[in-house]
Amino acid sequence: MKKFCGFLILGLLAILALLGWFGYQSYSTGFSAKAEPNELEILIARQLRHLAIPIENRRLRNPLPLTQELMKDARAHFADHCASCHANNGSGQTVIGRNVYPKAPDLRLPDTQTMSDGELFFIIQNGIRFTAMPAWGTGDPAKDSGSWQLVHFIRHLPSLTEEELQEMKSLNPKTKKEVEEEALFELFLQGDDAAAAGAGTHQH
Amino acid sequence: MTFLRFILMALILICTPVLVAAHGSGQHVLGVVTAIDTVHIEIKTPKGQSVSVRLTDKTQYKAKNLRRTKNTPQVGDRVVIEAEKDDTGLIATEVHFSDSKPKPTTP
Repeated sequence: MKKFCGFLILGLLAILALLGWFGYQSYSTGFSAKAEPNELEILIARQLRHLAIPIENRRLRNPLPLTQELMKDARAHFADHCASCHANNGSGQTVIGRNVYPKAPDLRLPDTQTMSDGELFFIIQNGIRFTAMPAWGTGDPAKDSGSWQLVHFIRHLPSLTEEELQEMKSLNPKTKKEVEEEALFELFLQGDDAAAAGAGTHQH
Repeated sequence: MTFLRFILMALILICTPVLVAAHGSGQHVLGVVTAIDTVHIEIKTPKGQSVSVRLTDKTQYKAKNLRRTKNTPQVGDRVVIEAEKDDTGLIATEVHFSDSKPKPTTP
């Protein structure tokens, strides 16, 4: 009994020390979203994410057959819903993706590519708590097939072509101001100096 | 088991502090090229300012209405640069350029 209590106290002390260390790390960065999570934090967060996905979900395989038409829809879907954080190429190099905590991951890298179909689908459907990843699931299997399309697209990201990227760029959502500004840029490139006055410089 | 869940939740809460959408650094710069080499491009904006933007191997070039065959920007070209700002200055991600002459202004 004494031995058990000793281990318990040691375990609690270790947990407290760990919590204190994490607390200090978080406090010392002023809770800034610009901070980079440390290796231990990444390791623990990924393990917890993995464990939080029920095993039956992890084992699911993509039920949709891979076709060109499906990939076209998936590109459009990703460009419209996901690219503002993840970028069209999945790199996460966008204004939002670089400045959330944790940063949007590079979906082309093994950390994402080695996840099972079921894990990717679960994350798209349910999001990840305490991160910028929202839950896109609707509970309607017909609508949720879009998430399975995205799983196919995520697998394709490492071999995305320049033509596909250009197509996606034209499908990214734009504000009215951005559309107007693009038109002015086009006029400026055609030699219209007056357009430059209207466009000026734009900062996000 | 409840205790273990509590510890796990505490860890999650402390590991992943607060989601804050921060301001970014995307910018558009437009003007006429006054100098260019492999690592930077200088442009004169319509307001007469001189702006230097860094070029990298990731910078993409997109020609518009180009009359010549050489498919890279040159001095005198009109450019619209999509750039990111960091501590060292502006870094071009995309350079849209054309060799169009100024259109005559209508009185």
